[in-house]
Parts: sequence; structure tokens; C-alpha cells
Amino acid sequence: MKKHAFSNTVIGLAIALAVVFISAVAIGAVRISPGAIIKILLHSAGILVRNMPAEKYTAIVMFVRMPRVVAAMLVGASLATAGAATQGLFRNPMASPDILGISAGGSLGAVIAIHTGLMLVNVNLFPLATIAGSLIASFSIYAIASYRGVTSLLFVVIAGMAISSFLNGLISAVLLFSKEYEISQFIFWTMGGLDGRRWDQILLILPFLLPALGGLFFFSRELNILMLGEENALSTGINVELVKKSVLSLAGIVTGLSVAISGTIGFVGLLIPHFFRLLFGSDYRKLMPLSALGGAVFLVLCDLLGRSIIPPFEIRVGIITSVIGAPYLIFLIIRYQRLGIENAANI
Amino acid sequence: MTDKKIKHKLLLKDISYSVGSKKILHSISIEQDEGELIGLIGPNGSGKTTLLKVMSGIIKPSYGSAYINGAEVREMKDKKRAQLIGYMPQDNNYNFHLNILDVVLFGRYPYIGRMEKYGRNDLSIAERMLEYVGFKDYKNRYFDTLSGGEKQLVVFAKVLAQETKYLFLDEPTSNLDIKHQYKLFSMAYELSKEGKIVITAVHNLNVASQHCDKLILLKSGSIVKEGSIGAVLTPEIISSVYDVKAAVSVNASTGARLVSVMPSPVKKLGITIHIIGGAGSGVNLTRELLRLGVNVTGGITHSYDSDFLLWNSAGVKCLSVAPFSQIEDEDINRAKNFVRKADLTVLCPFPIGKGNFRNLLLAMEAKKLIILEDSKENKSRVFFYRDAESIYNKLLSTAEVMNLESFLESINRGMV
Repeated sequence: MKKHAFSNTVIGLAIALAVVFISAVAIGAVRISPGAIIKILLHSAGILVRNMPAEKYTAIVMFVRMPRVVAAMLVGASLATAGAATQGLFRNPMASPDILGISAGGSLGAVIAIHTGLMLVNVNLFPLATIAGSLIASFSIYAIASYRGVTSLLFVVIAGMAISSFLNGLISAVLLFSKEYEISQFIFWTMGGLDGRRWDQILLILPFLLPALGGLFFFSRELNILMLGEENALSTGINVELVKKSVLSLAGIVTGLSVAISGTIGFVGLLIPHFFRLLFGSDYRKLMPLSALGGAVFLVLCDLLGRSIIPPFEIRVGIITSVIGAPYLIFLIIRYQRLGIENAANI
Repeated sequence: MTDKKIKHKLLLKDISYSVGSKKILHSISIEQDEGELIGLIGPNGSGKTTLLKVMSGIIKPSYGSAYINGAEVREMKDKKRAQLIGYMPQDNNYNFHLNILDVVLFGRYPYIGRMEKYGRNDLSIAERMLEYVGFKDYKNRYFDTLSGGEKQLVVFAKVLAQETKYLFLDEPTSNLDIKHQYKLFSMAYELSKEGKIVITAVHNLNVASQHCDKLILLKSGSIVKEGSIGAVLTPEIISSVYDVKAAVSVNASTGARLVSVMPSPVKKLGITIHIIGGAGSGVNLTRELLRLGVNVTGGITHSYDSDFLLWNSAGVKCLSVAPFSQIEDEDINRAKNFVRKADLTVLCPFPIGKGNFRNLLLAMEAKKLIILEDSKENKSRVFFYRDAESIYNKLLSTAEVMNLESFLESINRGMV
């Protein structure tokens, strides 16, 4: 890749993010002009603005749409970055948090926290519960993948699917045994959603999410070297086990926190890093920031799509990502069949 | 520890390695100084790779310790170890889209801090190594566009960029063509002479004999023999370790020891054939007959004749006379025993002169004589001695004339 192709793409994605951000805040049952949105934003930043739009618009922007769009950005960036990291760690193009069951682990943590009343004790415990669930799933995968000699591409994916269905089974069980079983609850924790997100939910996780995301970026160099296999990485001076544990922990934390905001949203972690890898190659120093930005743009767009197709009804964002993601997955499988699975490792 | 030699020594003390109940290495001890290219040889599964991994600190031995520079390998900090030991695994056939210069830069990882970036110095070292292995004009290629052999060379450059005193290579040329194989071993040799300790696992014994200063031969996880090429590559040792019938000769073009595997017969045919050869005329015949399970005897040739060298290394009972000397009547008398015992005697198509014409007299003793010629009408034999031709014509009247192919076919079908 040419040197400026990367920086141009980053700039392009940043602009795209700003555009989709404004559009997503503007579009809805009540249309709000971009100019009004910018005025409201400036005003809330403490800057004096003349001709302020009506109070109700400020309320819609600040308390209904903005939190939702910001949540979409954060979750998209988190899932895509975590996906890039786990794909790199397992040298497996399909090893994303949702396929590996890390997202399902977060959901299980959430439903347990809700239905055991843990959340009523202290609302701050809720993200801890989703993180705990995701970490348990992460380390189950780690244990399976560290089992002597297990490096097969297919094996990790199959193990992840097994863990994922097991955890989803537990989620259903917890929901069924709880008194106030609601089908919408089940859908939220297995398909995800961004409706009704509030600032307090976002602010609760932000202090943990940003450092964990930064931490993942920190391992780009090691993920690059790991592309040459574990033995080469070891002999280059990388503490491979430590890197594995750290990256899986960070991916678990990041995924757990995004589950706390939006439930499990599939395919973002699989699709986005993959898309950029096809376009720009395998350099994780570039792949991680591209995935983060791309993931944010993608999820805001998917959410916007979901609530604009058949208004006033909303299609859940997880359904949109699945509808886009599943065909892409099939495309990948066909591609790998053609290339041979050995060659698929880092494509 | 002040003595430079001791400082850089490699010392393996009583290393054992097992996986479950399976012992892969049994109490291996090695001491090594710099300046030599050491080949690690042995059959598949003899523990070459495992031993290299233990030496490199990639895996921990179940028992014993590996010391490098006087320090225990497994106790070194990861980056410190990577500044001292470069290890190249056998399989480097990975596919990822990354500039090869970036891949070689991986080798500078041990030298940079957590927050540092690769610096100008790192970049120039990486570039130099890439040039050294032959990518001078292709520095902008991508790893996934390389052939298996080119990937091997790029990973070798990455190992060199680590600037280590020790280089442990596992079958570094398994994917390389002969040109690059030669090149890589020449580089390894050169580096060993510059004061590195280079140990490389080599599958091909002839490659090992051509390039290495010293060999360590492993079998089932133990060192069978360690020493110079001449001491390790003997027919007896190779035959017993590799469970083949090995012959060791000298490569005519390189002067290196050349190990060949002799055919081992599928079944015993139970017949004995005496070959009267010379000038290498019996080599193909001997190999084929041995393969068919025929009991072969040979003679008389001059020693150092290719026929004689083959018979000797293949354990064929044979007789020879000194080079360029004449075969005398007493030599023939000694050989008569062989001919009389043989069910069949074959006279190979060698030129006949004064020195070896008595072989024709030997042929007269045969129970049954086969003369190898292209055909009865078309004989290519050359005579340098007048009297020999008349003896030969006499022989023709009693013998059967055949070419090599039809003779071998009739042996194979049991029509003799």
C-alpha cells in the first residue's frame, strides 16, 4: 500500500464519520437540519449561538438521537477493533468476538445481572457482569486453542461456535426461569439494539472502554509479528502467551462493554477488519485504526438504515448487520474454498 | 568467564524432552565453540527440530539445561534471548499481505522499547539483510506474492536482522532450489567463519557433507555420533542409523563425501551371478541385479575402477588388482573360485587390452556365460590387444550374447 493511501483513507473515514453522524442525528420522524444540529452542538459546548432552534429540537438531538448515534459509533469501533485483534491473534479470518462466543458471554453476564437482582444492588455492577461473561468466554477459547497442537483454523471456529451456542442456551434458560420473561428481552440480548440508549449508560462504560481500546492498538506490532507463526514470534522475543492473554482480555473487556450498551451485534467484528484487510493488506498498525473508524461508520449507517426503511417501525441494528454480514460470510467461505484453507489464514 | 571462547560457548547439559510418556530427546550433551558450521542430521523423527527448539528457548526441556554465553536459555528475558539467539523454523509458508522489508524489520523487535518506533538504524539493517539474501531490487514486494523458497529467504533475513551470535536453523533449504540452497549454506558458512555459532538441521546428507564443518547425528533422540564429516558419514554408521544399505563415495565434482542408498532386494532369487567388469561397465548391471535379489560376485577389476568402488561399498564379494597393473595368472586362479561357484557369469562390455585380457580366460571357466553386447551383429567392444580378439571370438561360440535390458528381463522372469 502506498504511504498516503493509508492516511488518505483515514482522513476519508473521519470525514465519512462526521457526515454519517450528522445525517443520523438529522434523519428521523422529526427531520432536523444539519445547520440546526451544528447550532445545538455548539450551544451545548458553551458557545453562544444566535437563532437557536426550538427547545424540543434540542431535546431530540441531545437526549434521543445523539446518545444513540454515539453508542453506535462506540460499539461499532469496539467490535471491529476487537475483531481485528482476535483475527490476528488466532491467525484466523473468522475468529471475531461474535463467532468465538465472546459476545454471547457478555450477554449471559447481562441477563444474570438483571435477573438475579445484582443490577439493583448497584448499577455500576452491570458492565462488570458483561465483562466477566465475555472474559469467561475469551479464556475458554484460549484454553481450547492452547491445547497442545491445536492451531487448525477450522477447530478454533468450531470451538467458538460451540461455546457461543452453549452460552446462548444458558441465556434462554436464565430468561425462561425468570418471572418477567419477555420475548423482546431475548431478542435484545441475542440480536442487539441501539434504541433508547442514554448518556448515563454511555458515560458508565466510557472510562473503561477507551483505555481498553487503546490497549488493543498497543499490540499491533506483536500481532504483525504473530503473522509469521508462534515459533517465529517467540524467537523474535515476543512473550506469546502474555500477548495472547492480554489481547484476549482486552478484546473481552471491549466486547463486554459494548454488549452492556447494545446487546450482541453480530458480524461487525468479522466483516469490517476483513474488508480493510482485503483493501489495505495485513499491517495491524494500519488495520486497527481503519477497523475502528470503519466499524463506527458502518454501525451508525446500519442503525440509520434500520430505522429509515419502514418508519415508524424500526428494524433492529443486529438484524441489519446480519442481513449484510451473512452473505459476506458466504462470499468468504467460497473464496477460501477456492484458495484452500491453508492460504486463507491471513487473507 | 573472561576468556572469549568460553564466553560464547554453547553448552547443552543432559537435555531430555518428553511429550506425555513419549521421550523425544534422551540426555543430550553438546559443547560447541564458534567458527564452525554444524549440521544436525538424523532420520525423520530423530529429534532434530526439538533439539533446535530447546537450544533456542522456544520450548523448555523436561530435564537438563541449555546454556548460552554462560546463561541458562530459559531464564533469559524474551528480548534479551532474541538478541542472542536467532531461530528459523522449518515451515514459513505463511500468507499475509505485508511488505517484505516490514517482515525483515520484525527482527529489530528485540532492540526497541515498548513505546519506540523502528528507527533509521533498524531500517538500514533490515535493508542490508534483505540485500544480503538477494532481494536488492525487490524490496517492495509483498510477502504473500513470494514463492515458498523466497519466503524462506526473507525469514532468514529477518533472523539475520536480529544480529545474533547464535543461529539455529531448522531445514533452512527445504523449499529452496539448488541455487538458493547453495547460496543459503554459503551464507551460513560465511557467518560461522565470522564468529557466529551456526547449527542447522539438514535432511540431505550430501548437502550436509558439502557445507558443514562438523556433524551431529541423532537417532531416536540420542546422539549416535558427533565429529568430522569423515567420522560420521561412514557406510556402517549411516546404514545402521537410517536402516538402509548405504554406500559412501566421493563426489567427483565437489570432493565431498557422497552418500548413496544401495538397492535392497524385495526377495532373494537364490542364484549367484559373477560379473566380470571393468571401466565402470558393470555399474548398472550390479545395481539392477542387487535390486532383483541376485547374489552377486565381481572381478577382476582395477581398484578405484567405478565397478570396484560400487562392489566394495555395496558389500559385493570381489577381487581387484592395483591400478594400471596387469591382471596375472595367479589373480585369475584366485577368481576362478568365484566363477565356478556362480550359476552364471556375465562378461560386461568393457574395452580389452593387455592389462585385462586375462579376464577372457576367466570367462572360459563359467558354467554358463553371457556376453553383454548391443546385439550379436552389432558389437561395440574395443580391443587394444591383438591376441585378445581371437580369444574373444572363441568365447562367442560358447556364450549367449544379449543386451543389458533383455538380460535383466530374462533374469526377472526366471528364464536363466
